[in-house]
Order: sequence, then structure tokens, then C-alpha cells
Amino acid sequence: MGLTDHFPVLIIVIFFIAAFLSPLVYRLARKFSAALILAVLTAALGMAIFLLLEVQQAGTVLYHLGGWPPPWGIELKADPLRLYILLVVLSVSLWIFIYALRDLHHELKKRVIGWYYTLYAVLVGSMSGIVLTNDLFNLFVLMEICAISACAIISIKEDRECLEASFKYLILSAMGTGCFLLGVVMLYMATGYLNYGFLQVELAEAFNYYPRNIFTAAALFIVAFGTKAALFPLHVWLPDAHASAPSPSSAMLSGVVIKIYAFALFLMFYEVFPRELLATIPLNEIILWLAGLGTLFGSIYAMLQTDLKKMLAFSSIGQIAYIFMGIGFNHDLALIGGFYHIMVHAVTKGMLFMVAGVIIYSTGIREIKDLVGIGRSLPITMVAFAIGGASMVGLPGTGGLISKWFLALSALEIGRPVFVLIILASSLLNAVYYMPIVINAFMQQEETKIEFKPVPRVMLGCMVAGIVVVVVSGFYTTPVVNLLEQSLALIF
Amino acid sequence: MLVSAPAIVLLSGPLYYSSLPLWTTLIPMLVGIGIYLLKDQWETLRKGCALAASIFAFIGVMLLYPYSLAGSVSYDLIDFMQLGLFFELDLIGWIFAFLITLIWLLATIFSFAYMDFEHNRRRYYSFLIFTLGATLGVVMAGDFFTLFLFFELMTLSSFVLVIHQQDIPSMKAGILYLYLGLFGGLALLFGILMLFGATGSVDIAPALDLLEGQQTAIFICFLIGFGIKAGIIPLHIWLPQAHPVAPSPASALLSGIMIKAGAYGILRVSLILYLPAGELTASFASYLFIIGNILMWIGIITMLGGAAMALLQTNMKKILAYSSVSQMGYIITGVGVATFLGTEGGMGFTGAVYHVINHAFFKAGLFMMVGTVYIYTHELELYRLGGMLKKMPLVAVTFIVAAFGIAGIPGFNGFPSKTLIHDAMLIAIRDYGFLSVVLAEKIFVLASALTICYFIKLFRGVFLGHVPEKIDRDYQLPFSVNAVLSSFALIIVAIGLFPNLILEQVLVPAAERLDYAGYAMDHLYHFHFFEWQPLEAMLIVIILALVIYIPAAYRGWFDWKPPWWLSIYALVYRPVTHRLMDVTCRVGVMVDSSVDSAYDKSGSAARTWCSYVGNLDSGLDRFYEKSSIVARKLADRSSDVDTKIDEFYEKSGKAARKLADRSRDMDSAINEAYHKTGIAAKKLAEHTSDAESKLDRVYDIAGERTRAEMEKRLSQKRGKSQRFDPSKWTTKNLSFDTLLLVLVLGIVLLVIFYFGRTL
Repeated sequence: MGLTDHFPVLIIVIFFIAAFLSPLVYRLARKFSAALILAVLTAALGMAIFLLLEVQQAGTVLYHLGGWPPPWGIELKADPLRLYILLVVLSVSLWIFIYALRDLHHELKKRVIGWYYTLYAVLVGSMSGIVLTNDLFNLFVLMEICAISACAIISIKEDRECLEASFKYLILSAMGTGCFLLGVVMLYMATGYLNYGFLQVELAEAFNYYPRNIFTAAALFIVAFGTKAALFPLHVWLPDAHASAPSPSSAMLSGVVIKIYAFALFLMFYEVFPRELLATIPLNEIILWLAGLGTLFGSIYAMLQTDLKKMLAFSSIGQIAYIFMGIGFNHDLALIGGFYHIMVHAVTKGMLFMVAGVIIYSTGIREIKDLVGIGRSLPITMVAFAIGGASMVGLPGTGGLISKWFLALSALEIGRPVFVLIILASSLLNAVYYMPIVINAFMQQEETKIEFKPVPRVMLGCMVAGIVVVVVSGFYTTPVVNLLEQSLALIF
Repeated sequence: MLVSAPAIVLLSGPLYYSSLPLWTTLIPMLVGIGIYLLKDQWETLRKGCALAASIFAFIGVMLLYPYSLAGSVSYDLIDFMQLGLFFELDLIGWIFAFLITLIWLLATIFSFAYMDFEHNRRRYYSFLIFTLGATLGVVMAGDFFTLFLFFELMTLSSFVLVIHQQDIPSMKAGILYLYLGLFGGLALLFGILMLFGATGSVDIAPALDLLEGQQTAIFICFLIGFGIKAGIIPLHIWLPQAHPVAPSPASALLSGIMIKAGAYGILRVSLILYLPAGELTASFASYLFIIGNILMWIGIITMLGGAAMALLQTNMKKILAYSSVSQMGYIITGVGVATFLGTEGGMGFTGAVYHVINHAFFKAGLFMMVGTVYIYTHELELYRLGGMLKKMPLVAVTFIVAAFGIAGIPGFNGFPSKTLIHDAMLIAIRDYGFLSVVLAEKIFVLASALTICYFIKLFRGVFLGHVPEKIDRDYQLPFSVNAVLSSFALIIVAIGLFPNLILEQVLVPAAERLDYAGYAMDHLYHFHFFEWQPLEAMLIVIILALVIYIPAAYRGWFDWKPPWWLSIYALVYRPVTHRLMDVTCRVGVMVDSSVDSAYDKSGSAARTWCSYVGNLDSGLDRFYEKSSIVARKLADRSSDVDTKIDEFYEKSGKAARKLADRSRDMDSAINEAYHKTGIAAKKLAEHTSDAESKLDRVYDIAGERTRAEMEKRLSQKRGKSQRFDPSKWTTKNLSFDTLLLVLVLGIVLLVIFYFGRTL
């Protein structure tokens, strides 16, 4: 076996190795500690791209850890869809990390920055694992790692709000994982397997003997992943956690982490539970309505906020609901829309939190009403905000329109025009809270007396990159949509 | 009454492939962005770029004329935005494109003089030219998706033109414009989505028979989307606010050109999309008859309402803005009549398009003329103006020409188009003769008369009378202004004198594409405008206008200010938006407060629970207390025993003494023995006191131990109460979240078991 055969596991493992090395490197050779994480992220990205090309040619790759075949061994699976999500995760993480290099020095104490790198590596590694794993127990372990490291990159700021928010997040996500573990136990009891593929085969039969167990497991999974991904009524931890964290952490959490759990739920529904089993109970319906309510209430709550980062966090609740909507429609067009939105929203929300970070870095402003006339002093930043806002609203020329287009189309296709109205109404609500900020930032006549620090070029460059991606994803959609069509064809 | 006609086949003619439509839209947009990047000081370069871009667009459109006349020009960008960007320019589109580029060119030149008085010129020119590209894109779009994209771009970029002043009225108007525009865009998107869902394509092609049951919903969506832009009543409210606040060249473009994009959309939808792809059966024909009638009535109401409102305004730009609303009514009426007449609709169609052309010229011209007055006098209110005839004779003359045009005086350009629309209505009366059209025709005449009235009012207010002192100066108009205004006047007169030229060159060929036939088309080939019948109709209008104007002006009816509550804004929009905001906020607050109360309740539950724990604690305390009391009692009792022993000792001592007393008499030899027992007794006594002090120490230690233990417990209790202090830890939030979790889990389980039962 050549080295390339081990890429699926290497993508995960190098992050953990880097995580262990990082504090050491930070102590001995401080200059290289950031470079180490950067190198690992780049290497993982390269491996993911390589894998994607290989998978597109040769079909899905199954990797058996240590050569032990399932159901006893651990299995990693690399199909086009997972690799697409992995690419999004890794590239957005790399992008946010580059931004964080400058921003962290502003927000954190110097002695914890090395630890931040460690936590970042653990977080990205565990997310890659969640995406690639093909085994429920592995998923559970990686989810715990992910939750703990996510908590840690919030609480690393060491002020009261962060501690409180991360404590809340920790407890709730522990409850979520508890639900998940309970569900896993029920499935294991019914089938004796933990591997996705084996489970799917076995569940179809076991269903006749233990229907209640299996349904309960499905219900537990919805609650577990719903809590972790902040599906509407379970979102309560999110606003505090995402708003109080340091800006790169907020970007990471809002942009990437919550989507991973939505994707995990998708895997449960399409790769673990047999389809005909789920067709007998309206689980999709539950997700769909929660998501529909989420899009509206996320926006309504966001409208009422006065703090910029809080507003962005509430907006995430509305946006993650679109992704759940994509899962709930149970239609390939909707899934394309949902997965496209994973990419678009990861970049857009990442960029918006960067903007918030730059504003805090440069002027120290957090309140929305103080942003009047700020476009004059921070033009690129506020252009990034305007374009991000446009993408959230779904204006043409931004990626947001494309995902909404797909979602709306599939809603019509399955004969649910109500959801098209919900999507459009939430777009209008988004416009109500994003547009005034943009207008006030640029169109105010009176001179403002905001004192501002010059923004480092790296941070500006990151935002420009975000603008480019958001706009290009609005215009040139073919490669991503083709990839999604191709990979969903394997599932449907 | 309704006969089934043969299938409608659109004659599309040859299809040419060229990227020119793409470049004519793209280059102005790129130049617009480029202008924004130029430095503030480079005035000349900026103007040069703007002029070059608008000339480029004009030439590009002119180059496309022969191809559009013969067939259509199309260009496809497949990979663009999922559905692809598709340009297709046919003759109808070309007419609009030509108008756009020509008037934009004139407005750009006019801006050079006008904008020298304004701030923020870089932004203005940048967005002016960008909007040109976006507006061209709307009419060059080959499918509804592309059209929607450019439509939204146009709304967004023209928003910046509207709020150019950046004062409170313009910001308010701009926000209204933006939100209504976005709302319209979303309605449009919804319509397009439904269209795509029903037919699988977004092409602008006949598709009525594929829409099955959704046609009314789709039509309403399109009507709202385009109608907001076109300013049909009651969706017009943004228009009288937004058009007056923009700089005059921009108002000219907004009123002259951009609202036409809405009319263009309605025209495309009702005259092309809403034709069946297959045979025109009786049911489709009757459906078209209904929507045509509705459109016509929307047009008639818009026409009359706009004219009546214009009559009551005193701000010159507001009069013109309401006049635009009214004139859009003519266009929509023409489209509506054409829709329900079916193949006979040629007259309505040509009339509507002709009126688009004419209105573009005279309304753009009028806004620039009024703008010229404004930049020199800084007055917009009629009663503070007057006598400008002497001060600006050229402006006055061109104004008269344009006003004659809009009033429909023979010899000026409004006359042929109004005549065509009127004739289309006459055809409808002849063919169907029912009350609705007859009534509509009467209102049409009335609205035309009102048009004349408000122009007399406007002209009298601005140009006649004596000059107020404040503006009594000599004015020198620059050459560019004179040239632009004169060219508008010339075009208006030229069209008015040779109305058949445009009709035969572009309108009739365009109508032929739509397969109109019959009486109307026969007439259109050789239409005689200067015959008695149209002239008579016009004469009636003029006489009616004078009959209305003279007594009304004499009695001062036009100065009547309608009370605020009568405006459509107060009657419809404010209640609706307030109600909507109210409901949204109320729902938000309701959910919020119920979340709050759930927090509170779960918090208080947690607190109760804590107090139970506290009670338990105090119970323990009490237990300790009791046990200490018992211990003390025990100690007391043991001290009792002590005294008893003492007593016993004492007693035994007494007995011994008695014995000694008794035996004193006895042998003194035994004295020694007595003495010994005495010593032994003393020793014993010493021993007992020793034991006593030891016991005391034990009691002390035990007491200390209990005290220490109690203190420990107490401090623990204090610590516990600190930990449950809600301000320190948000346990109550957590308990609420857990509650939610459990609740959702419960609901999901319930649903599952409910449905699982049936298995």
C-alpha cells in the first residue's frame, strides 16, 4: 500500500499530531507554531483534493483502520459528497486561520495563543473525522472531541460572558451527545452493528422485531443533532456562544461547526436508516416545520438585536434552518440547495464575523447603532458586509440566491408552495436587518468621529477572498452543482 | 361573443448569434464601476468616460437594428448562475433599448451642466452609467430569469440615484423605494419559480396551456413584481416620493425610462407568455378576456387617479411624478385592451408601445426642463415661482412643446399614441360593446382632459405671472442644457408631425411578429392620424379640459389639499404595514415572553428545588443541634452521678467519722489503722477527682469536635447557597434548555409512536 492509500486516515491524524506538537513548538520555537498548523491545514486540503479526484475516477474509497475489516474494525469512507463537505470544512478553516493569525493577538492573552492553535487543530481534525467516519461509535467519540474543543475556543477568552456561554454550550452539547449515545445503544441492541453500511442492511430486517427501538433512536438523533446544530427551538445556546467568542472562533463555529452536525444528521437519515423505514413516519415533516419556523424566528430575533455579533449569531439560526430544510424536503434538488448553502453560508457567515472582528479590532464598536458612517473609514470591510448581507438576503449575483433557488424549486416540485413563501418572507426579513446597516454605513452625510486603527493587510485580504468566493458562487455555479448532482446520484 | 381562433404562431424570424447584446450591457456596467475608482478631482475624465459609455451603448443598439428588424439577436452564457444568462433582442426589445440609450445619452449630457451644482459627483456618474447597463439588460433579456437579475440590479443601483441628496425626505423615499423594489423582486422571483415549476423553462414564450391551475397565481406575482416598478395604483406610492427627490436628470431617467421596465414586463407577460403554446381554445380566450379586462381597468384607475392627484400638487416635480403614474395608466390600458382583443389587439399593442416611446421623450424632457428651473432658482413650489417665460424663454418654449405632447395636441407626439389607444378601445366597443369598455372609454377622455388641466396649472405657475423678487435675476443657460432641451422639443415635434414614420418603421413590424391581424392591422398599415375622427376626439378632450379648468381654477379647487388620511398611504399601506409589523413583533414578543416566562418558571422551579436541598440542610443542622442538646443532657446527668458519688463519699466519710468518734474511746492503737484508712480514703478521693477532670476533658473534646463539625456543615451550606445564586451561574437557563430538549424529544417520540401504532 502506498502512502496515498492512507490519505483518509492521514487527514484526521495529522491534525491530532499537530495538536500535540503545537504547545511544544510554541514553547521552543514560537515562530513556527502558526506555520505548523498552516502546513497541516494545507496538507490536509491537498490530500482532500487528491482524494476527490481519485474518488471521482475510481469510485468511493473505503479505508479500514489497521487492516481490520468492519464490522469489527473502524471504517472510513470517502465518497464525493463527504469530500465536498470536507473540502468546505478544510478550506474555510484554513481561510479563517489565516485571518486569526492577526486577530488573535488583539483578542487573546499572549500565553494562550499556543493553546488556541492546539484547540484549533483538534477541532478541525475532529470535524474531518465526523465527516469521514463510517461508524457510529467513532462518530460519538469525535463529536465529543469536537464539542469540547469548540467550548474551549470560546472560553479561552477568559471573560465572564465567554465562560458562562461556553459552560452552557458544554452542558447542552453533552446532553445532545447523551441523546445520541442512547440512540446508538438502541440501534446496537437491535442489530449488533455500529457500521453505517451494516446497520442499513440489518435495520431493514430488525425493523420487524424492534420498531419502537429504532424509531426512538431516530427521534433521539433528531434531538441530538438538532441541539448541536441549533435547529430552531434548540438553538438557545448558540447566540451567547457565538456572540461572545473571539471573532475567529465565532466565524469557525457559525461558519463550519454547526453544519457538520446537520451533515451528520443527513448521513443518519440517508446512510443509516433505510429509506422505506423513514417514509412510514413523518420525521422529515418535523424537521421541515422546525426549519421553516427557524428561518422566520431566526430573522425576527436578529431584527431585535442591538449587538452586531449577536445579530449575526441569530442570523445563523435562520440560515442553518435552510440546510435542515434541504434535508427535510427529501428531494435531490433540495439537497443540492442545502449543500450549496453549506458552502455559501460557511463563506458568507465566516466573512461577516470577520467583518465584525475587523470593526472591533479597528474601532472597538460592537453596537449596531454606532456603525453610522463607518463605510468611509473602513470601505473594504463594509463592502464585504454589504455583499455578505446581499448573499444572506439572496440577491442576484451572490451564492445565497442559488441555494434559495434550488430549495424553492424543490418545494414547488413536491407541491409545497408554502415553503417558497416562507423562504421569500425570510429573505425579506433578512433584508430588513442587513440593509439598514449597509445604508447607514455608506449613505450618511454627517461626518462621524470614529477613531480607527489601520486594519492589517492580511485581514483585508481574507475579506476580499470571501467577497470573491461569494460573488463567484453566485455566478459560476456549474462545478459545485455538478459535483453535488454526481454525488447525490450515488445516494438517490 | 367569443369565438375560438386558430393557434397563435409567433413569427420569430431568423435568429442571429452575436455577443453584442452582452457587451452593450456589460461595458456600461464595467465603466460604471471604473468611474467609481477614479479620483474625485478627475472631473473631465469622469465625464468623458460617462459620455463614452452612453455613446457606446447607443451605437451598439443602433448596430443591432437591422438584425432585430429581420429576426432577433441572441447570445447565451450557459454556465452563468445555474440557469444561464440568455440574451435575446427582438424588435420589441430593440424599441425599448433604443429609447433607453438615446434618452440616457441626452440625460448624461444634461447631467454635465446640472451636476456641477451637486456634491458626490463621482458616485452619481458611476451609478448612472451602471444603471444604464442594468436597464439595458432588462430589455435585452431572453428569459425571465435573466430579466429578473437585471431588474434587481436596476432597482439596487437606481436606489443610490434616488437617495443622492441624502437628506431626510430622500432617505425616507429611498428606503420605501428599496423595500418595495425588493418586495417586488421577490414576488417576481416567486412567479418565475412557479413558472419554472410548471413548465420547466423560464423562456419568454407562449405557455398559457402549460400553467394549469396556477396561471392566476403566477399572473398576480408578475403583476405585483412589474406593477410596483411601473407604478400602477395602488402600488405606486413610492413613485411620487422617490422621483422628485432624485437629481433632475436621474428623475428624468426614473420617470422616463425605468418605470417602463415594469411596463415592458407586463407587456411581455400578458401579450406573449399568456398565450397558449397550442391551440387557442375558447376557455383560454375567455381567460385572456378576463385578465385583459382587469389589466385595462387597472390602467384606467391608474390613469384617472394619477391625473387627479397631479392636479392637486403644488410641487412641480411631484406634479410630473403623478403625471408619470397617470401616463403609465395609458400604457397599461393599451396592453390590457390588446390582451382581451386577441388577434385584433394590434391597435392596443402599437398604441401602448408608441406611448412608451412618446412618454419617454416628453417626460424625460419635462423633468429636465423643470430641473433647469430648479438649479437656477432652487425652488420647486409653484407659488414661489412665476414669470420664468421672460427669464428662460427657451425653457418655456420647449416646455410648451413637451406639454402639448403629453396633452395629446395634434402635431405633437402624444397625439398619435393616445389616438391609437383610443381607437383600440373603440374597436373593443365595436366588437363587444359591453358596458365596461364604454365606461372605460369615457374615463379615458376624462383623464386626458385632466392631463391638460394640470399642465395648464403647471405652466401658469412656473412660467406666467410676475417674477418673485427672490429669483428675479438674469439667467445664463449653458449650451449643453439648451441643446438637450431643444433636441427633446425637436424630437417631440418631429414625431408629432410625421407619426406614421415610427409606426411603419418599427411598430407595425413588431406587431406583425405577434401575429396580429384583422381590422386593426389593416388600418395600421396606412393609419391616417390627421383625419376628422381622431381630431374630433381630441377637440372634445380640449373643450372638456377648458370646461373643467376655468371654473375650477376660478374657485381655487386645485388648491384643495386632500387630507392626509385620504391618501392611499394612510388608507392602505400604513394600516397594512403597521398591522404586519405589529403581528411580526407581537409574535416575536409573544414567543420571547413565553420563552422568558419559561425561563422564569423553570428558574423558580430550580430555586424551589434548591430550597428543598436547603431545607434538608437545615434539617441536618437541627439534627446536630438536637444531638448536641442530648450530649449536653448526658453531660449533665454524668455530673449528677458525680455529685452522687461525692455524696456517697461524703456519706462514707461521715460514717467513717462516726465510726472514728465511736472508736475514739476505743483503742488508740487502732488509731493508726484509722489513719491508714483515712489516707486510703483521701487517695480514693484524689483518684475520683482525677477521673472527674479526665471526664471533663473528654466532654470538652467532644464538644469541640461537634462544634467543628457543625461549622464545617454550616460553611458547606453557605457555599451551597452561593453556588445556587442565580447571578453567579445561569443554572436557570440550563434548566430551561433541558426543558426544551425534553419537550422536543417528547414531541418527536409522540409523533413517532402515534404513527408507529398503525404499523
